Amino acid sequence: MMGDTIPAVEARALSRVYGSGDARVEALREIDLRVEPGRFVAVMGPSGSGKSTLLHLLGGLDAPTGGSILIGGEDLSRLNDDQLTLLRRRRIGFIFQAFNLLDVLSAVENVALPLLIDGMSEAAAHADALAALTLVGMAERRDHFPGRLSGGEQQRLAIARALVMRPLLLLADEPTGNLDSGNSDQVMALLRGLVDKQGQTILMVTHSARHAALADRLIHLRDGRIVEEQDLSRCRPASKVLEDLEALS
Amino acid sequence: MYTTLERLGRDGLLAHEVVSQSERPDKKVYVLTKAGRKELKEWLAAPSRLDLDLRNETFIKLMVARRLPDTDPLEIVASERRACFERLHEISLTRAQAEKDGEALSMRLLLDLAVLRLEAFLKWLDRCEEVLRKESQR
Repeated sequence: MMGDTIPAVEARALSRVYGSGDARVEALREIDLRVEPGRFVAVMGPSGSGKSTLLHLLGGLDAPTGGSILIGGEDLSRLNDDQLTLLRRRRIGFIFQAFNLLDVLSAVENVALPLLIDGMSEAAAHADALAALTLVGMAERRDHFPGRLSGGEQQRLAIARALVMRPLLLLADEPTGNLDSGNSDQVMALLRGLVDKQGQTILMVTHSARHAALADRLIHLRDGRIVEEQDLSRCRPASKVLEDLEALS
Repeated sequence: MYTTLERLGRDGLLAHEVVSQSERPDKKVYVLTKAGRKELKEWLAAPSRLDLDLRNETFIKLMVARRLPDTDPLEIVASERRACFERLHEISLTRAQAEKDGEALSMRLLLDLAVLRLEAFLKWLDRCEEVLRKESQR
């Protein structure tokens, strides 16, 4: 039953306050959120609405001042530092606006790195890294260094690295923020494909309406609160829209 | 289409000749006259009428709602935005599909036009929200 599915990520009355007294800022105010596995959620909102804070909290990069976060049913507040590090490494993948790749490592070495840190043998890590590169259409670039790749390719490489541990949840913070529109559309098509074909769960923060619109669900934040939620998964399929357009011309 | 061809013929922009075919009805082959080619060139060279859509229905709704005591224009912004995102979801997925399937250039460019117009409209809705919010706080 759908109702019994453990959410990939869940936030309950999640709050984050920075500073105190006059400098007190409530970045997030009692956010409730559930993301079922295999769903693609986009978070939008003006600057300072709490989007990035939400993403950092859900990824365990920052600690809440109120409420709780569950990743695959596991409450982050019950984990010690070592357990949290492991959970972050194994169950959560991150991609950022900056690609954060290591220039001295080749594509396949960049992708293999999380596996090696996790203690996997070099041969096995290399094989898994290659599989992840294939998934993002970058297998032929395996021996290239990041500096020799286009922005779009670097972001695809960063996505491969984020996916190599087969994370339950992929968190994307403005993943197309540094890309031109052609490369942006490619990266977005890749993310959409990962959801449709691999059942990857994605939560993405973005300024771009066009990119947010590719998600299944939209969340609008304002002043640290969810002010609007919209389910887009019941819209007409692309094939139907194409038929209508072809009938026009 | 045939009424258009007839009209162009009447105006002296289009000529045709009848070609007989064996085992099939005669066919008409149309060709632009000299005046027709001139007219076509002029049309191509002149800037198109820009449709700025200044009688925009959403705009009118917002301005009416602003003057009614029991209607919140911000609710109209929210519902228009939802409708716009639904349309953008369909069109963006279709655009991505068109790229993948190598659809005709004409289809891809037409979808780009639709995507960019929807994006612009969403930006305008954001702007409306910002301004209307300030007004309601006064």
